[in-house]
Amino acid sequence: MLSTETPFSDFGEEVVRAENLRKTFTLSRKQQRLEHTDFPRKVAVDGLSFSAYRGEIYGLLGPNGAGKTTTLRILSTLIRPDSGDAAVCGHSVTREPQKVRDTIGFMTSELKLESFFTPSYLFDFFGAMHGVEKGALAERKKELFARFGIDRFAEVRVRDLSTGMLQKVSLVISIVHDPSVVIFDEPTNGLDVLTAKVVTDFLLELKAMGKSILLSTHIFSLVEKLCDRVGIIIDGKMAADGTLADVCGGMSIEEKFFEIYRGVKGETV
Amino acid sequence: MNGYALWLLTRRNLKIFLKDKANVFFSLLAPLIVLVLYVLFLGRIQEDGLLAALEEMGVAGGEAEISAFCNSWMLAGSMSCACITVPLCACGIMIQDRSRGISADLRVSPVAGWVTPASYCCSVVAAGLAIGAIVLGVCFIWLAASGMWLLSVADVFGCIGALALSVVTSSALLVFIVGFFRSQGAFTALNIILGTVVGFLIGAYMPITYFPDPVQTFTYFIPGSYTAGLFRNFMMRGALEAISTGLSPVFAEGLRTEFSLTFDFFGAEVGVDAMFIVLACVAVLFAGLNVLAAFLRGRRKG
Repeated sequence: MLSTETPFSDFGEEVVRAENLRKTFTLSRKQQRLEHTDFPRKVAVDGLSFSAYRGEIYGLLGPNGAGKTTTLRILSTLIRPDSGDAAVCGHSVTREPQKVRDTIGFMTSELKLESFFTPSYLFDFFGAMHGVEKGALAERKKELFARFGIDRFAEVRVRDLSTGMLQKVSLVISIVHDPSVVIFDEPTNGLDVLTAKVVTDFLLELKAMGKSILLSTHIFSLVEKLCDRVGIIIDGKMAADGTLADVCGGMSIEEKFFEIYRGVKGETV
Repeated sequence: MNGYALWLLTRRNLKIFLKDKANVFFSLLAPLIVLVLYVLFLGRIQEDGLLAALEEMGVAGGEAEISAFCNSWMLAGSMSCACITVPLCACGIMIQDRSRGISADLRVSPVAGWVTPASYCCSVVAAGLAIGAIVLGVCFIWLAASGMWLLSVADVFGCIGALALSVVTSSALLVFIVGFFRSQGAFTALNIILGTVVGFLIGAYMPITYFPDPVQTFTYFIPGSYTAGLFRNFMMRGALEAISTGLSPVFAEGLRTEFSLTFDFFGAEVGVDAMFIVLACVAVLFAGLNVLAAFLRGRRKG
C-alpha cells in the first residue's frame, strides 16, 4: 500500500497511476492440471506500474493470460490488489473505490444485457445508478442514441436486437454518466468489422473530447491505430512501457512485441 | 444515493423475476402439485380415513367438518411450500447476474458494496410476499367458495403474519445458501431437489407423524416445518373447533397432534408462539450471516 496520507491528491494530467500492483489467484485442482503446475496459486499481476495521461489512449498489449484483464479489473475496483495501489483521477482504487467508480466507464466485449428490457430502460437504469440527473440523462440518451443509430430501437426488447446493435447499446450504457476515464477490455473482440469500426471511431472521438481511455488488446493493428502509449505485459510484468514511438524504436509493434517476448521468455513463438 | 440505488436495484431484480412467466410458474410448481394431488386423490383418502376413524368411535356424520379440516390442511401445505419455493426461484437472479457478468456492471456503479447484495435480499422478500399474498388470496377464495370458511379475523391476520415472517426467514436462509453457488446448473439442481422434497419435509403431502421417528426429528430442524405449523394453526383452527364442538373433542385433540399443529420437540411442546420465535430467530441468524458474507466478499474483491 502507498504510505502517504493523501496520495494521488495532485494528479494533474496523470489520470491513471498504477504502482506495484500485484494480484494472485487461487487455482482449483482442475486449473492446476490445465496450467501444468502443482502450485496452488497463480500470480496474475506482478509488480505492475504505469501511468496514463489525460486525453490519450493507453493500450495494454499482451498474450492471453498476461494479466491485462486483471489489471483493468483492479483499476475498475472490481477486484482488490494483494499489494500496491492505483489511482484514477487522484482517487485510490483500494481506499476510495466509490469515487473511482464515479469517474470511470468500464466495458468489456461481452454482452451482458437482460433480454426482457429495452435499451431505453437500461440506459435510464444505469444513468440513475450513476446519479445522473433526469433532464441531463434524457438529453444524453437522445444524443448518444442518435449518434449510434439506437434511437429507432430504443423501445425494442434487447432479445430482438442484432449483435452489433447490442454492442452499441452496451457501449453507450458504459458511458451513460459521461466518465472522464473509459476502461475498455478487448474493445473489438467478437465484433463484426462494421461494429468494430464504429467502436474504434468512437474511442478516437472520446479522445478528441479530452477523455482518457485505457484498453487491453492482443491485436497489434488496434494498438497502432488507436494508442498513444502502450504497455506490453508478459506474465503479469510490465516488459515495456512508453509512447508507441519510444517502445517500437522504428520497428512495427508486432516485430517489437515478439523481440521483447523472446527476451523475456527466452523462447520463440 | 445508496438508498435510491437500493430501490432501483430491488425494482430491477423484481421486474426480471416477474417478467419471466416460466420462472414464476415453476416457483409455484410445488404448491400446485400439492393442490393437484389433493384434488385427484389425497383429499378423498384423507377424508375417508378420518370419517372411518370417527365411525369407529361411534360418531356418525361430520362430512362437512372433516372436509373443511382436510381442505384447510391442504391449503396450509400449499401456502407453506409457496413461502419456500417462490423465494428460492427469485434467488435465481443472483446466479443469472453472476454467471452472465452483470454483477460486474452493477459493481462499477458508484454505490456502496453492500447495496447490490442487499437488493437481492429485498427483491427475494418482495417477490415472496407478492406471490405469497396472491396464493394466500386464492386459498381464502377456495375456502369461501367451498362453503367452508371457518376462519376468524384473528386467523386471517395470523396467516398474513405467518406469510410475512416465513417469507423473510426463507429468503434470508436461501439468499445465504445461494450466495455460495456460482453456476446456473448447480442452482437448477438445488431448485429441483428442494422443490421435490419440500412438500414431504414440511408435511404437505402427508402428515409428518406418518414418517418414522428419526425423519420426524429431522424435519423439526427445518424452518419450513415451523412455517407449515403456523399456517396449519391459523387455517385449521376453525375446522378443528367445529370438529371439537360438533363431533368429538377427543378426536379433535388427536387430529391436532397427528396433523402437527403442535410439535413434540424432544419432550417439549412447540406451540404457535414458539414457532414464531423459532422463525424470527432463524431470520435474524441468517440476516446476520448474509451481512457477514457480504462484508467478507466485499473485502476479498474490494
